[in-house]
Order: sequence, then C-alpha cells, then structure tokens
Amino acid sequence: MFIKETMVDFPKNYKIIVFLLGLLLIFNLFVWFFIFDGGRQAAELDFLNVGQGDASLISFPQSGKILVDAGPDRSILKSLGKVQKFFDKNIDVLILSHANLDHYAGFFEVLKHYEPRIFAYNGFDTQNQTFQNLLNLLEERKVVVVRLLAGDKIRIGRDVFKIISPSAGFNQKDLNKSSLAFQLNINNFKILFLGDAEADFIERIGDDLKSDILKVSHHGSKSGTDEILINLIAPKIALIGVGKNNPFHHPAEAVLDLLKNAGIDIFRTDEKGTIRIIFDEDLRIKTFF
Amino acid sequence: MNRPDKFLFSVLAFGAGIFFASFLFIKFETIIFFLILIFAAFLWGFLLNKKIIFWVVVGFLFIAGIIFYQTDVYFRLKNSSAYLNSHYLLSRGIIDEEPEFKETSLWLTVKLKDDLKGRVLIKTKPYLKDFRYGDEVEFEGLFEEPKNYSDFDFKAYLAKGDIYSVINYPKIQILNRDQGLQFKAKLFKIKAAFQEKINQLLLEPEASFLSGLILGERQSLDKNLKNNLQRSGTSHLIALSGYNITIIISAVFSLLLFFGFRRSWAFWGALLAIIFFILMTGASPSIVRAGIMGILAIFSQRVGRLYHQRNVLFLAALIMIILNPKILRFDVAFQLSFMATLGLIYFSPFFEKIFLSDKKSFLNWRGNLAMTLSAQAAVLPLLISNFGYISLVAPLANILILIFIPITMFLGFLTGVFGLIFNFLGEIISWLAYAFLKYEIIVINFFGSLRFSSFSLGAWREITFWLSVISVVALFIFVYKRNNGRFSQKL
Repeated sequence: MFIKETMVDFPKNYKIIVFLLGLLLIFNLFVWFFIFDGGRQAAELDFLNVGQGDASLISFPQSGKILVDAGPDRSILKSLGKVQKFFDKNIDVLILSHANLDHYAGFFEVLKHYEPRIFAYNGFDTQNQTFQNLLNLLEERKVVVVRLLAGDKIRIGRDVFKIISPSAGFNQKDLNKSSLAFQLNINNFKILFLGDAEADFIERIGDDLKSDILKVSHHGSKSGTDEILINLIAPKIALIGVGKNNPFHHPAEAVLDLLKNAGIDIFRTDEKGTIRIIFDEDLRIKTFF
Repeated sequence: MNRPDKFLFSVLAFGAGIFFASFLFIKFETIIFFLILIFAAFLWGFLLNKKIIFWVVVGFLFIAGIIFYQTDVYFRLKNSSAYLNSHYLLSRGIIDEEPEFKETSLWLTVKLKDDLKGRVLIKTKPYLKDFRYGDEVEFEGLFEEPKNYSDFDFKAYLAKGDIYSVINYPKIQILNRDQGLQFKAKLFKIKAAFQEKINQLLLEPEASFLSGLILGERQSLDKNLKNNLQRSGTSHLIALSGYNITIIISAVFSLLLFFGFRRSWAFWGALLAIIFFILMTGASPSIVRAGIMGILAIFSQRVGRLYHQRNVLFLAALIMIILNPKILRFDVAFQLSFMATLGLIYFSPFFEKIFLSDKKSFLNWRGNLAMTLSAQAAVLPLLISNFGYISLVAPLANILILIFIPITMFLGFLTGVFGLIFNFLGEIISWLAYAFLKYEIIVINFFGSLRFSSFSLGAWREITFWLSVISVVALFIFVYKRNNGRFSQKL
C-alpha cells in the first residue's frame, strides 16, 4: 500500500528532484575540482600583455594578490582573465608607479571588475582631470589610498617589498622621474620594478640594486636604461612591456643591444604575450597569448 | 479581397511611400500632380467601375506615406541643432542616454539647453570624467555636421536618433547630477548594479559575453571575440532584437512547462519575464520595439489565424514607423526584429514539422532549433545586405550553442540577482554560469577561427542579396500554399 502511494506521487515532481540532484552533482564536481587543484604552492609574477603599457600581477601562495600598474585600456581585463582562475579572482592591492595614462587608465576598468582594498602610489598628484577622476572613483569605492616613499617596506609572509624611490624630499614636475621604484624579495629571488624612471636618476640613489629580474624602465626607451644601471642591477631576466608597432618605437635598439651583450634573457610582451614567472626553488617561466 | 488583406495592402502602401521617400525627395509639384491623377481615378471609379476604388485608396496611401515622411523630416530638421553647425560655441545640455564607450573615445548624447534646440553627439576622451546619464554639462567646442565613413552612412544613423551635430573633444565639465528623467535614471542604476555584479563575479571574456547576452551590452566585448561571433554567425546572440527576445520567451515558456506549470500560467510567466527584461536592459527604443514584436509573436500564436498574427505585427510596425519614419530604412535593429518575427509567424510551423518539435526533447532543443531557423531564414537578406558576408558554419554553431543559451541566461541572471542580495550564493551560481559561458565561447572561437567559416561576398553581394530575397519569398509562398493560408500551431 505504502509503495503504491509513493509511486503515484512520484511523477508529479520528479523533474524538480532530477533537476536538484543534477545541481548537487555539479556542485560535488566543483568541490572535488578544488580539492585536486590544491591552490598555488609558490608565488607567481604575471607580466601581463596589455599592449603599449605596463601591468604586472603578483600572486602569493595562499594569500593576496597585488596588481602593479594596469596598462592603457580594457586589455588588462582580458589578460587578467587569462591568468586568473574563475574561483580565485580577487585582487587585494593596487600599486601605481606613476600617473601616466599607459600605466593607470586600466585601473578604471579594474575597479569595475574587482574590489581591491588598498591603492598605493607615490603621492604625486598631477592636476590632470583624468587622474583626479581616478582618485574620486577610488574614494567612492572606499578603497584606502596609501602613499609609498623610499624606505617603506611591506611584508607578506616571508616576502618583502622595499621601496627605493622616490624619496620624501622629491619635488620635481617630471612624472617619469617620480616613478615608484621597488624591489621585491620573493623566495630569495629579487625583482626590480622601475616604472618609467630614468637611468641616471636611479643610479644616484645608491641602494644595492642587484636583482635577478628587471622590469625594464619605460618600455625599453633609451632614457630608462644605460650600461651603468645594467651593471648595478646585473639581472638574468629582463621584462619589457610594449605594444606591437607602437608609435614611440619602443624598445630602443640600443637598449636591446645592451641587454643582449650582457647575456640577459629578454622577454617582450609584444613577442611573447603574457609572461608568467613562478618562484619555486628555481625560476620557472611560461609565456602565453 | 477580404478585409484583413485589404488592411495589409493599405499598411504596405503607406510603408512603401515612406520607404520610397527615404531614398528620393519628391517635389511638391509632382505630389500635387499625382494627387490630381488619383482624384481623377477616384471619380472615374466612383462613376463607372467601383472595383477600382480600393486600389485608388491604396495609391492615395502611397502618396500619403511620401508626404508624411517629407513633412516629418522637415520638422525634425527644423527642431534640430543643424543650424548651429560650423559654429564654435559655449553651451549647456543634459546627457540623455547612457555614455557609450568606443574604441578610443567616450560618446555622450546631449540634449541642448538654454533656448538651443536639438541633440548633439559629444566625443570625449575616455575616463576624463565620470559622466553619467542625467548629468548637466557645459562644453565649449565646434559644432560639426556628421561625416560619413566610406562604408557606413553615419549621418543617417545619427539623424535617426535626431542628432545632427557632432562636437569632437570639447572642453567639458559637469555642472549638476541627476537632471534627467527619474524613471530612466532608476532603470540605468539597476542595470549598472547588475552589470557590475556580473563583472565582479566572472572573469573576462565570460563577463562581457554574459552582459551581451542578457543586457545587449556590446561595448565591452573583446574585438577578437566579436569577430569570431560574426564569422560563426552567432552575433545575433549579443544583439538584443525581437529575435533574442523570442528566445527568452520560448525558453521561459519551455522551462515553466518543464517544471509542470499550466500552459496559460507559463504564457503569463513568459510575458512577465519579457517586460522585466526590457526594463532591466534600460528600455531603449530599439529594445522596446523588439520587445513589443516578440510579445506579439508569442501572443499571436495563441490566436492561431494567420492573418491575425500578420496584421497585428504590421499594425505594430506601422505605429512604430509613424512615431519615427526613419527607422524603416535606417534602423537595422528594427528591420531585423520585424523580419525575425515575421519569420517566426510564417516559417516556424514548417520547421517545426521538419524537426518534429512536438516531441519532447532535452531543454526543448527541437523547438528552439525550429524557431531559430525560421527567424534566421527570414533575416538572411538583411544580414547579406547589411554585413555582406555569409557564415557557412552558422547552422552548426547555432545548434551547439542555442540549446544552452536559455539556461546560460537564466544562470547569468541568477548570478547577478543573488550576487546583489547575498554575494556568496551569487559566487556559487557564477561557477555554474561560467561552465556554460566557457563552453559557448570555446565553440564560438573554434568556429570563428576556421578559415572557411565565413566568406565575404564582395562583388557577389548584390546577386546573393537578390537570390536570398527570392528564396525567402519562395519559401514564404511554399509555406503559405501548403497550409492554405491557415496555421494550426501551438507554442
């Protein structure tokens, strides 16, 4: 009797039950997927292909992500979409090297897609309307704006950010010179970010600049790199963020020759696309468009 | 001739007059001459041969269409900003559409204030200011007449929206916020919140593709993906038209039936979904038009008799054309919506028979396929004349994708809604949506990147266009004859 009754009731809403079971099955698959995926074991640096501009995403194992510069336009979103996983798409901190459009315009798009908590820059505001618009937007989104200067250090686990320029007394109008330059120490590898800083300006700072990886200043233009600077840094790997056939003729031949002669591996975003460096016991490098 | 057919011919005559006038300016003397001719024919018909009277009326309506179009153009131009062109001015106005991001600039549609008439298009640098709908702006720059591109009648495109001046990169500042219509501002706010949630919960290009699907938002779509959408013949997915809206209706309808709702309930559910959808996407004129036609297609299918469905559609089109006669020739979205709906009404019974749509199928793919093909067949001439290419892989790509479009839209919709209410739930649903979106994008990119996926018609364009027109008309006659002008169809 009991069985018969349930059999009569069954067809009425069996579709909903099947549907819900299907949903549960899919969730189950997701859970197993995460368990096997296991997350990041080592820190990663993604030097993103954003055309003529700079953008790098630094992801730390089991913790936060930092985006340094965001390129000139929407292309930042596409390249972030390629390097991030759909279940791990937060960005915690934004860092801007200096207030030039090819470094910060992409932040407008990033702010529409992500919810960062901190925005750090060198504090040199131009009266530029577009940059003021960015600061207003950050305020509206309740993102904390922080000013970084030479001597500041940020610790993330055992990894360290060390700001080397500009210093507190800096007051020049030149935006490129004001570039926030910093050295990252991840897993005993050193990475030097120079923004668009000028070579002779960085050389005069006097810090120990020795690094394994160099984000070449100013898309490889002549003003950003010279022999003295290369000798001071002595990198093994050089990263250059440039767009194909850009009107500025970046990177400069002279700079490329200099790097080649010093035996440095050159990775250009116009040739290799996005460049991913994984800081395991050794450095592992992958590139993809 | 029965009454419904008489009605059809009357509407067609009036429309033909408008269409004719949109190509050629007819002089006042010529119009008077033809009016006299018609009056003579009327007298002759009245006295001797009464059968001719209806055709006299049709002829008169044709002339009336011409007169209507020309008067409308005259008054629109008179009330426009055209008289300001080639002047350098400081003026004020209110942004009365959502700002539109283009490749390297931001486009603002501004309604002028302070005794200045008309609407203007302002091009400005992207990110310069946080422009929003309803902002009162002050700007200083040169008013210019819009220039046509080599392959695109930009002037006509703008004139259709009553814009007769372009101002390139003026000095501009925001004076006040919220000076627009409150209702419109609210709609845009809902849309923006929804879109932002989708953006936060999904990565690119999935987020943009989903926005295209459910909001018709195409600006943020990656160029590469856009190309592949075109080449695989699936770009209709992200263009909100009556066609898209019909997909939503049929999907909601099938889904509700699938869950055991009664037919009439499912019908009202679908109707509600459409109204909600139109509001959510910002209710732009082209979406409202598309929505009305989509609703008509669904509504008329309950009536059953061919001429009712047909006439209701033509009546709706007539009203839309009277409100803005320029859309008949210059608004591709209107043409697509109209033809797609016509295709659904006439062709779907035919395709439903072929694909045995009465049979139960997974997510009703048989029914979806029949509807897709009927719409696709009817819009083919338009696609050829407007885009100049044919996609060879379109049928296959569409079958593979369209089955999942309703569920994708549904999940995408839930992602946004739940994301706004309870973020974590939204996140989980977004993973499901992601799986479908990813699949669809993979299919689109695969078919779009095949070398033979589509070919540009070039010199063959005209011939192919007329061939496609002939085949559509032939299909129409075939279907009509086969059913003796009668359609017994179910939704």
